[in-house]
Amino acid sequence: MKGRLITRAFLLAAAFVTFFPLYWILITSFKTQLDIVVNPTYLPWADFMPTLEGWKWLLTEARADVIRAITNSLIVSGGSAVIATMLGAAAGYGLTRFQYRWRFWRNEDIAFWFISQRMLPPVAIVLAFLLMFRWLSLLDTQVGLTIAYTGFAIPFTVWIMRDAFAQVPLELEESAGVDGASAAGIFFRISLPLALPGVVGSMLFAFVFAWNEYLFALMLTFQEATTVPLLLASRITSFGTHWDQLSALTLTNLIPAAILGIMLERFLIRNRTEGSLK
Amino acid sequence: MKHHLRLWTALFAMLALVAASCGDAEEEAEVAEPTTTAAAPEPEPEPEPEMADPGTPGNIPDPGTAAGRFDGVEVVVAGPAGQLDYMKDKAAEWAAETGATVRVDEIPFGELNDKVLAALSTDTFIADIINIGSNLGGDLMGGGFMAAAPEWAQERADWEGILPIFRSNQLSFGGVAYGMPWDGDVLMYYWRADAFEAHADAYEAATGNALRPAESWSEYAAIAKFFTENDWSGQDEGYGLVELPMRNNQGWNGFMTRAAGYAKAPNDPGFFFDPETMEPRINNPGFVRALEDWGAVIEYGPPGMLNFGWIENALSFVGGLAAQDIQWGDIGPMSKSPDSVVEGAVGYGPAPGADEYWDPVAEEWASGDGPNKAPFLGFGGWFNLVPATSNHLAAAFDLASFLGSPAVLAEAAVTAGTGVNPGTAATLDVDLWVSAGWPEDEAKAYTDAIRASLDHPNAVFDMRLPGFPEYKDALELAVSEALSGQHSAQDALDEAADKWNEITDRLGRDEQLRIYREALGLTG
Amino acid sequence: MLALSIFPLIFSLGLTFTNVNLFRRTPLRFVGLENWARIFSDEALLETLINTVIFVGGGVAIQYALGLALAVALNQGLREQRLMRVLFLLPMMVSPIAVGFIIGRMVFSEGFGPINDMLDALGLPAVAWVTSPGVAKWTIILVDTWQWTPLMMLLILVGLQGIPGEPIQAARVDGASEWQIFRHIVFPLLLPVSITAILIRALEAFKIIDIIRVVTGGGPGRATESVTAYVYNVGAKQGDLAYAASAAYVLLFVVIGVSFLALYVMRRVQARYE
Repeated sequence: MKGRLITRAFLLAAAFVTFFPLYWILITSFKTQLDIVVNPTYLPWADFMPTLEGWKWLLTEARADVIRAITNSLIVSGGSAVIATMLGAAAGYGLTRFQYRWRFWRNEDIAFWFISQRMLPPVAIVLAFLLMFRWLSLLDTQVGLTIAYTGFAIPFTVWIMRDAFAQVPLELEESAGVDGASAAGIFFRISLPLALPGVVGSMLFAFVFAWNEYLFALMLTFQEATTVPLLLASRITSFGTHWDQLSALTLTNLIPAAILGIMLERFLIRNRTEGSLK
Repeated sequence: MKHHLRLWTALFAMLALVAASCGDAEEEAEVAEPTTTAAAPEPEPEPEPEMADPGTPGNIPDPGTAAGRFDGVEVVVAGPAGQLDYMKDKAAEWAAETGATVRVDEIPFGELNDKVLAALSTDTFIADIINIGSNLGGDLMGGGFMAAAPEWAQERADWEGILPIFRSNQLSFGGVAYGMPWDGDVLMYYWRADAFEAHADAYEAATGNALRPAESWSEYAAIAKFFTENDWSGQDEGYGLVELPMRNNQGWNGFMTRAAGYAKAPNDPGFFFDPETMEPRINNPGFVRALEDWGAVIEYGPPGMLNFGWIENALSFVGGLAAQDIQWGDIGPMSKSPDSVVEGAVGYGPAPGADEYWDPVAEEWASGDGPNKAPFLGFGGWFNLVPATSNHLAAAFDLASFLGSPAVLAEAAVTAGTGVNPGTAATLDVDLWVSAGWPEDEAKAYTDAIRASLDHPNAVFDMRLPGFPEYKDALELAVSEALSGQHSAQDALDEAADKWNEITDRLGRDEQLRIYREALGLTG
Repeated sequence: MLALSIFPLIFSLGLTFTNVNLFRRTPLRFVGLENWARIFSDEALLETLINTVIFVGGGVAIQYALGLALAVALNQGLREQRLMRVLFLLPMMVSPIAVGFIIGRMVFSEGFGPINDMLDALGLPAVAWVTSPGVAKWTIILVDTWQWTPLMMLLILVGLQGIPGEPIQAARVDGASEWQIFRHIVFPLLLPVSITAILIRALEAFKIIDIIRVVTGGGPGRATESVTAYVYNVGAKQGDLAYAASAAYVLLFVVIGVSFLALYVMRRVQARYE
């Protein structure tokens, strides 16, 4: 029981550190510019008068932009998360179950090659994307951003899925093979369900990556396909930062992501009995 | 690990191969990518028929003023988020009259230049009108990315009513006018007139001098010290000053506003460079003392001021935290906004000067009658440019000249959040400010302070050279290193000067010198 | 997809041998190794590389330790753990721009931020979070840690699900303490996932830029400038794309080298357990 107490104390401390900034974002969305810069203020009504200006801006003047940006973000992030995880699962499964060999390239090398593509600072390649996308007429389209983000996420999803499949005991697959299941049947009925936490983790990762990405969204979109990070950054104006609007938008932007988290959380934990009964 | 070693060697072999054959490969790429791009710009881009030939105004026919003259045309306006909101409303009026539609693309302020540059240099269409700052504007005009302004557009924007310093330094390049007016910018000095009045006796008792708005940076420092050490603001804390030192923010403007008084000699047109040799002056005794003196007063600012950008500075002042402020003209309208606690309590004047200035020709400290003032036109103002890639040049200039017309600018100047600081006859009219609800004496003080700064014979217009962002970065780095105590002012500025020389040599000293001299109005 | 990932690499490598500058429409010229020669005398690049290594080394180590602790704590069947799992994921879903502005610029603000205010209330001296060159590095690491510890937690939590229950139960029957079980069974089994998590996070951390640009702009001096921020300044702000690409490739080589080293070390550790 002492262990549990320590655990709880640790979680409580972590929760405070995690939530204090989020609380700060929340109260900032109700502050005037002056309440922000002059002195730190903590409690609405107690030491500052809350104002609804930031939220009013969000719900009236900027409503169309906000809806468009969130829709774009959801489509682009969701799309690239699903595609990247599917391709990552295929590649990751292949890397754990089969030995590839091409000249001197082997599995380890291939896995590393996948990930090394993501090591270059993005600004070095963004211009190449600009040229490529203009040529393909993908500028300012959801499809274009989805393709770009899928490409960025794949190296990571491959690695995550490779690890997830590596943890699935080979015996289970072999016994299914003995029972006469086809290769596809084994993959979809046994391996994939057992690797479900990996699938969810990989999707969350790819989703968050696209959800937060800024530079490529900035350079490759103009109006139709702009995503939320761009709208957020546009609150940092030629007249300084509209902190209230920025905060309100940040919280609004957090809602879809949180819903996604709630929906996917249950799949993060593998139902162990189900797995071992098979 | 063996596998990795093999990969390693393979990787290097591949790189070596690519490197060896790179020339050919890239030339092929150029053939495959026939558009004029930054990666593959053709030496002589063939003038396409619909593209304006930069430098020859007048080939855009006057569309006249008939209603519905641009039926079905879509004009795209791009610019920094924030001030575009106002422009959007005004453009809608124009659209209703001409039958055109206007689309406004907001670009985050911090990345505005980066995005515009990336798009233009790859010939990617970005907009028909770009609202941009003077610093980048020069490069864009000089780089041949922009269409020259036709005379009919200049007329509609009341060209003669624009102060000459903006006409030649902001809207034109190499003697050709490209831009349409929007904003005029100069950094000024603000003080809390109410606090100055209330503490005049205490100040005199403490220092032996009468308290008046600072004429020189030494007075400014003494005032800052006094107000920091005494409780005056009626709030928990009050400070003597607030400035703009943050790197990659407004550090350049903050420093140059101060340095101009120390290092811009009235008898020499050059400031950043020696106009004969293009040798940097930023490490001469004038700049060094400016930086040392600046470092000595940072402690009189609010905590963390080294990381203050535009908004922290402005809000600290209108929030009543600081007794003195160095800022652009926006403080005027901002002091009347709901965010302000200083309405009617602000004094306006040109930035203070230096008791002695460094004469770079005689190489000695010199002084004239009173402090040497040199107002700094930092940033140089927002204005509108029409890219040569626009498909609707006539409509673009029609809209841009409408936005730059006296009536629109006057309304914009008195409205907070438009980006428009006074810089034209219409916007410097006292009556305009009075009709916007300002008390007459305050309106007069405000416009007088701006006019005195802009008309000042020793005023310095911000640098407008190819490579400006590099020069700026090198200098801001040095300033930031000195202010945070990592290097002495002399060492930091010596290093920056070396860097400046390196940049100048890389870009071509003769060409840079020619452009710098041109900007100073020196010929030959 | 392959073309999509290879073309930019080749393109930017090609750039390093040219004089491409966004500001000038000068004819394309091949300058051979001129850009590469500049690299060796570029003190700024070295300084930013060192900064980056500090960010990655310090940040990822802290994030791994915290992420591991959180994942283990949230995998023990506590009643509130499901709610907490979701809530602890939230920071990584906040856009780095907002994190930088609201947390970096406001919460850590020396004048109007709550942290110094609270320190003051406790009678502690104020900390120069963003204006002292030494402290500012750690401020960046702290902000980065706040945002990205959840990712570590997520990946490790996923890894924990793949650990078979039998050996743990067997050890428990044999009277092993929870710490012994963690140390000798859980941790070794988590190593492959840990390696992936660390590698993924480190690769992203090597490219840290958004937070830095917002919170400190790379200052004071160059104290918090990362290579990616430097490359961005040179390439996008100053237009010298050719040199920026060369500097980017230097980072690429360093990262490849470091990841090889890290993989090698971690595999050795793993081998010791097997």
